[in-house]
Amino acid sequence: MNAKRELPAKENAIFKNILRNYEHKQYKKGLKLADTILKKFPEHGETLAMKGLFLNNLEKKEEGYEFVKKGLRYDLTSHICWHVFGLLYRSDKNYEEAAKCYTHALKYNKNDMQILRDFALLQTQMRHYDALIETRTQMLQQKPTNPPFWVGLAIAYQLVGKYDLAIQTLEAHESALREMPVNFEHSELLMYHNRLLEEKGDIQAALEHLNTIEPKVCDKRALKEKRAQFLLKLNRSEEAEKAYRQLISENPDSYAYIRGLIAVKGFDSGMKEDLSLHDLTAEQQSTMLGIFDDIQKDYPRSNAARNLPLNYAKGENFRNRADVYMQTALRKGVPSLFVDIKRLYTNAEKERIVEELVTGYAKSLEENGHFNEDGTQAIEPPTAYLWTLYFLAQHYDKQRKTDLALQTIDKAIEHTPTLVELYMTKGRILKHGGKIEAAARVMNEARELDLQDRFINSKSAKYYIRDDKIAEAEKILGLFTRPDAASPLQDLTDMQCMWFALEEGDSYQRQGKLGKALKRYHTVDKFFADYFDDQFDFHTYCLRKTTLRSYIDSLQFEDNLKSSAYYIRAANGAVKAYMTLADIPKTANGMDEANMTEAEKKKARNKARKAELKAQKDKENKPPKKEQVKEEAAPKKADVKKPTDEDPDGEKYLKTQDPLASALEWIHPLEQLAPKVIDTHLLGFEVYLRKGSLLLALKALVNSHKIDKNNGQVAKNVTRFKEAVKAHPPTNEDVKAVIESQLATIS
Amino acid sequence: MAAKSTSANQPEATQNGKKTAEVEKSASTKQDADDEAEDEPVEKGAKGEASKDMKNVTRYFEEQAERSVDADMIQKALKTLQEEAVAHKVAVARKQQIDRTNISKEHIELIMNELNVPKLTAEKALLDNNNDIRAALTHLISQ
Repeated sequence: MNAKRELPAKENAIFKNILRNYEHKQYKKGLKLADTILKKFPEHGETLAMKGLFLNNLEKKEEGYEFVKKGLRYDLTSHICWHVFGLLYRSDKNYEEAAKCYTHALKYNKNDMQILRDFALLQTQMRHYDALIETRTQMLQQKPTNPPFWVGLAIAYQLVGKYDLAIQTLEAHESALREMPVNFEHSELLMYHNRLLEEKGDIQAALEHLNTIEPKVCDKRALKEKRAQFLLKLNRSEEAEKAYRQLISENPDSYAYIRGLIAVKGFDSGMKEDLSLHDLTAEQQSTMLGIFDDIQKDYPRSNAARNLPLNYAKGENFRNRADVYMQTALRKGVPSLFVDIKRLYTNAEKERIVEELVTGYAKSLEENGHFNEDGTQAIEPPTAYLWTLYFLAQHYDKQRKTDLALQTIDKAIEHTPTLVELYMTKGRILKHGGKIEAAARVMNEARELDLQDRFINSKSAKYYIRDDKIAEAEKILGLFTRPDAASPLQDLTDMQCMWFALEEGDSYQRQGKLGKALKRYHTVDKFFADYFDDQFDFHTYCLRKTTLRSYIDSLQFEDNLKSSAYYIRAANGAVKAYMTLADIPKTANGMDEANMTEAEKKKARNKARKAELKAQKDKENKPPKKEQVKEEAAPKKADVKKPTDEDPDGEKYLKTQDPLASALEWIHPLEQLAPKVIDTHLLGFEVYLRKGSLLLALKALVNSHKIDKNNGQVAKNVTRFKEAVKAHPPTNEDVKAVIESQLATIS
Repeated sequence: MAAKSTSANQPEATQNGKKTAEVEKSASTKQDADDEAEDEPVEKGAKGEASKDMKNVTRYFEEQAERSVDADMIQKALKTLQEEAVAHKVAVARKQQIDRTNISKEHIELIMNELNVPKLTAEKALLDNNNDIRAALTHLISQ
């Protein structure tokens, strides 16, 4: 034991109090106590580290780091000092560094439960599952009486795909549990156990297990759904049918249940892509539609049973079904009818039939108030005509028959001049027709019809942004943002409003304000980073509450977060902006004044001054640590401290030394998570080609070709690639040969 | 302890994620098992105290009885799990080890430079393709 670490009995007691203060979040008290020890022993490392920890929690981060580092310097072998250092990094979300600190801490005290616990959380967050197994095992060995530790180990094994061990761990844990009344936690544990059996692929065992645990399970719905699925997978058709019919009787509007029943009957559509089932023989078709009709007879109010068959029916049969379905909806006034129907337009025949039907309705309603000529029923309500026109306008808009669409929607507006939806659709038609300014104007008219409606408010703002009228848009949005926020922009950023950041980014990009554009795109990236960080607390919470199935789902969700369409859009914008930056020939001061607008020149001149200011500020604020915090962390720090934005124009992104490398930071996650999206490879190609990484460019090219060989950009890229190879032929013979052989496969 | 467990029961998104972890410091089994009991509305006054103590006493005995039955089995399970963890670690380490004797260094470097992949990936690609550099490159490109 380090002699310097030993404190006299009195101070030692104080130090214990300090630890307790921290546990109870009495930071100020702890700070005072720490100072009393330090007065006598200014070089006591652990006290210094604790002082740093208190400071960090009292919003004095820089000082915090300073003291912790000082503490470490005096006492490099103290697990407390390393642990505290790790805690600081963790609060900064710098998980890599934090993990290193924990590893050190465990070197000096390998059985400290607190450190092990924190380490396990970090390893989960960073997805170091192999190492997590070791940590979790150690925790369990030390405290086998703590239920979450058993569960934690089982999860670790599940996450590396070792289901047998995960199940074994759970079984040992369950056998030690005493008989208890049915409760939610235990029920979830059992259902999780069942899921492990399913994921392992042993459906038979999973089904049997399901039957044994049934009396103890609270989540009856999940249990029944699982049973039906298992029976289906095991081809026990009769029982499966019974199970699905039971489920349908409980919820006749569930698409999943009806699809399950269809699958039992041998129409396995993979449960989701049922449009692939278009090509059925007449006989199959009638069997299948018969199933739907039966359900409809039993449950006349089930919308799903009426809607789903539209996917499968063909010809006259489809016409009849669509006729009934649409008439009911139009009579009732269902605004979303077109959104519902348009999915059928992937089939040209159905599109034609729908058009015939609806144009027929419009004509007939206008003339005699009936949907059809042979109107034997009562006169339809006047709104039926209105909604029919509304549908028709959207239909023409989808076909990009702008004039026809406009005529139709104007007719509808004439009929009822107060319906917001009509103006929204008119705006949309104009937008699709390329009349951006008129579209924004109409959308604003719609907004003025209903000032209380936030949706139309956002729409209107969005249309102004499309027209690059940002000030106007922010003013409109400001009607709904919090009045105490610094600005609408600030509030929408705090609220992680994704569409807004993306639209503004695109607008600034159109205007050539790349700094601001990049700032918006990076804001979106920050949102995603925050989403990922948000899971941290659940690594402990879910184990305690045993909400394990949802926990595993959410881990998988977080893993694929960046395959979201929003992220891909932001990446598209950011990479494009960085490419523009990369293509600007650099002059001596790094700026090309010739290509600048007047505003940009002014900005450039301001830049020097701002840079100076910033340097000064950095000097004041700079944390005395050797590792640089990620660049992304910078804006956040500013946000926390003061509401004003230090860099509203995104200067720091313009100043990037290597725009290609910055672009790659966007592309790498896409390559990992969205390899099936063509944008990933088209964007990658742009960057790699400019970098001169021929093989990587080739890889992107091959992949984009694989996804869509008819894409116009792919063909262009092939030519560009060939030119690049001609201009700078690779020196290595093997590389050359590979390029030639690969090019042969795609051109 | 009461204050501790209530705050641990909330998944509030703490800004620094620290609280949750700290809060459950050194929670012993009994505390964990008792979490639920603590969530129940507590009766006030001496009567409440008494009934709470009573509950704890019964639970204590139950636990005693149950532990003695299963102690052996648990010990056995723990031992197996410890061995499995070691085995897993060894297996993971072995996967990282590659017989590099036949791989040319130049080829590894070529792959690493051209395709910007980690060394291990380059080595594996070469191994899987019988050390044929063109095949390895093609394989990595078409991945």
